[in-house]
Amino acid sequence: MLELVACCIVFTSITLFPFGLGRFLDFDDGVETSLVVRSDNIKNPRYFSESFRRLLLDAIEVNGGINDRLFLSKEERILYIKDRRQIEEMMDKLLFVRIPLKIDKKAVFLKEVYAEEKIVFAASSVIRAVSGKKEVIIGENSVVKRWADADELLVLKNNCHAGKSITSGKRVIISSGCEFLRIYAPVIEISDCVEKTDDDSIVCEDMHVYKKIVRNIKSVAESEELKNTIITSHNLQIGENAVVYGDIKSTGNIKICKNAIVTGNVFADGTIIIEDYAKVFENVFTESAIYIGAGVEIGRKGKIKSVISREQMYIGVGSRVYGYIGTERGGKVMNKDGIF
Amino acid sequence: MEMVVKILQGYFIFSIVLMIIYAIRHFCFSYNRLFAKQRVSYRDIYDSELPMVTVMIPMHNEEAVIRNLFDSLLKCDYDREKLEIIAINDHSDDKTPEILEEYHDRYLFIRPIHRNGDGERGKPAGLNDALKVARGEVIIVFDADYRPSKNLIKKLALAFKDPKVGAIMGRVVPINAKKNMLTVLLNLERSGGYQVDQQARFNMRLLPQYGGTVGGFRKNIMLATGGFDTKILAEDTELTYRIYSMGWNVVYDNSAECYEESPETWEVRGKQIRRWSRGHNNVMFRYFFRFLFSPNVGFAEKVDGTLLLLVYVVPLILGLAQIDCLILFFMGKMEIFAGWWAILFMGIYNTWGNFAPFYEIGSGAFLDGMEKEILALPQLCFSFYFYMWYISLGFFDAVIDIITRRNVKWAKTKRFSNEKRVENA
Repeated sequence: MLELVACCIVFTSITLFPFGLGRFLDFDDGVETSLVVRSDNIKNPRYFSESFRRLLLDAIEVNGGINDRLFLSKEERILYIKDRRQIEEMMDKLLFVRIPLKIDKKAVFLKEVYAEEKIVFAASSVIRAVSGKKEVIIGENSVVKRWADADELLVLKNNCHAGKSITSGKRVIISSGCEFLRIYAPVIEISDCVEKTDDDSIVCEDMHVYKKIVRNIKSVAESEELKNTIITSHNLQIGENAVVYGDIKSTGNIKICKNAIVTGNVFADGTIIIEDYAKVFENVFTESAIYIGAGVEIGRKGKIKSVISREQMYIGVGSRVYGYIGTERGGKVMNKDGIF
Repeated sequence: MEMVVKILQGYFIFSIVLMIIYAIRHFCFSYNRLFAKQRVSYRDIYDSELPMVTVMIPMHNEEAVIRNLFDSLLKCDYDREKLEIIAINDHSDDKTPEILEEYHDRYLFIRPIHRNGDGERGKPAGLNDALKVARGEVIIVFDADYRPSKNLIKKLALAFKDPKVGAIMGRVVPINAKKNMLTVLLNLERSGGYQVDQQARFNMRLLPQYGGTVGGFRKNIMLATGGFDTKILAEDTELTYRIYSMGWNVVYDNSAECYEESPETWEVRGKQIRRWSRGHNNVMFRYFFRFLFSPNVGFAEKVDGTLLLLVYVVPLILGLAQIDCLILFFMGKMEIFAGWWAILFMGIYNTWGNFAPFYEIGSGAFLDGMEKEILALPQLCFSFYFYMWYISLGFFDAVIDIITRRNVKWAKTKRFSNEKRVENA
C-alpha cells in the first residue's frame, strides 16, 4: 500500500512539475514587451561611416581636441595627423587626418581613420575602417577589415579585399581581382581605369515597363521586342539584342544574352547570367548566384537600383551599377578576359 | 457491434496518421528555421523609385488609439508624394470621425471615408469602399491600434518589385506580452507562428499566409476579382488562396515588425479564435477543391496549402479521436497496433499539446531569445484544449453559414490598451 502511495506521489509530481515552472515568470501591467521593435530604425547603406563620424566629432567637441584620449563606445586614443611623417608601419590609434595625405609605404591601421581631405593608401595596406570627407584611394592588394566610405570618389585598386562594405556619396570605382560583400554609391564602376569619370549612361527611347503578364515562356528570340512582364517557372533565355519592356521573374535560371535590354526588374530563384553589354534598367535579385559580363549596365543615372545575390557574384570590368551591390557569399571583380 | 468497433478503430488510425503528417510538417519547418539556408529578403533592396502606396485603416470607435497610429505613420520614411492614408470609419459613434477630420485638415494625404449609412458593415465591406477610391497600386492594411516603425511601409512595398508577388505579410509582435499567463502564451504562439512557421514556409517556397494586417497586396488583383468577399470573416485567408489560385505568390518579411495588442482575457480570446475558425473554415469549404486543382499552384504549395486549409478542422478531428480512444480503451479494443507501437507512441506524443509547441514554438522562443517565457511552454497544453473547444464551435458556425447562406456579422476584438503601454512602445 505504501509503495502504491509513493508511486502515486512520484507520478503526480513528475506530471505536474512542468506546469509549475510557469510560476517563475514575472508579470507586469503589460508595459513591457519581451521583443523590442526598433521603431526609429531607417535603412542607411552608409550607416557605419555616418555613425562613426557622429560619435567621433561629438567626442572631439566634448574633448575640445586638447588631449589624445576620447570616449566613443569605450575609451580610445586618437592621433591628429598634420604631417605624413607621422604615419608609421603600425598605427594603433584612431587617426584624424586634416591634410591631403598620400601614404607611400604600406601600413597597418588597427583603428578607424577619419580624413577631412583626400587620402591615398599605399599598396598592401591593412585598414580597419576609413571614413573620408573627400576622396579615398586604396592601393593594390590592400585589405579593408570592416568598411570604407567616402563622400566623394572611393577607389579600390586591383586585388583588394573590400571588407563588409564600401560606400560613397558619389562614386565607387572597384578594379579587377577585388573581393566584396556590399557596395553602395550612386555610380559604381567596375573598372581597371581609375581615372574614368565619364557619365555616358545609356539612354533608351522607350523605357516603359509593361505590366501585362505573359506566363511560362522559355525564351525571347534574338532581336525580338516583347512588351510584357514575364513570369515563368522555366529557365529563361533573353536572346542577343532582344528587348523586354517589362519585369522578369523566373523560378529557374535567367540568361540575358549579349546586348539584350530589360527595362524592368529581373528576379530569379536560380542563377542569373547577364552577358557582355546587356542592360537592365531596374533591380536584379536572386536567391542564387549572379554572373555579370563586361560592359553591362544595371540601373539608370540619377536613380538607385540594386543587384543582390544570395550566393556568389562575379562582375566583369567595364560594367556599371547605379546604386547597390550586395552578396551574402561574396563577390569578385573579374579581369578583362571576362567571365564568358 | 463489430462494425462500430471497426469504424472507431479506423477513425483512430486515420487521426493518428493525420497527426503524424502535421507533426512531420512542423518538424520540417522548425528544422528549416534552425539549420537550413534562409532566403534573402526583399528588404535588402535599395530602390529610389517605389510604388504608390495606399495605407488603409479600418476602424470602429478607435478614439483611444488612432492618434498613435497617425503619429507613427507621419514619422515613416516613405516618400509623401507616393503615400496616401485612407482611414475607414465604420459607423463609429465616439470621437473617431472628428479626429479623422482633424488629421485630414492638417495632412491632405490622410483621407477619411465615413461609412454611416445602411450599407454592409465590417472590415471587408469597408476595404471594398476604400479600394474604389485608392490611388495606390499597393494596398497596405493596418489595424487602428498598431504602431508601425519608420521603415515598415518601405519594407513591405519593396517586395512588389518582384512581379510575381501578389501580397506580403509582416510580423505581428504582442505589446502586452507580460500582462498575464494568457498573453505570455499568445506571445509564444506568435513567436512560433511568425518566427518559425511563416518564415520557414517562405524559405521553402510553400504558402506563407497573408494575415490581414501589417501586410500589403496589389490593388489590381483585388479589383480584377471583385474585391473582398463580405460573406467571409477571414478575408485575409481568402485573399491568400485567391492570390495563389491566380498564379501569384505571398511572401513574408520577418523584419517587417509591428506591435499589436493581444487579448488579455480568456473570454475575449475564445471569441476571437471562434471567429477565426469560422472564417477560416468558410474559406476551406470554398477553396479546398478549387485550390487543389488549380493549374497555377505547384505540387509542394498544394500540399502545404491543403494542410493549412485544414488547420481549423484538425482540433475537432483530434478531440473526437481522444473520445474515440477512451471508448476503445474501455471496450478493451485497443489492440489495433500490435507491432505498430512506435507509431502509436509517436501519435500519442503529438496528440498531447497541438504538436507545434514542442517544435515551432520552442524554436521560435529560442530564436527570439525568450529564455524565461519558455518556462510557460507546458501551459500550452491547457490552451490547446481551450482552443479545441472554440475552434470546434467555429467549425460548426462555418457549416451553418454554408448550409443557410446567412450573412456573417463582423465583430471587433475588445481592446485593452492603456496609456502607460502606449508611451512605452
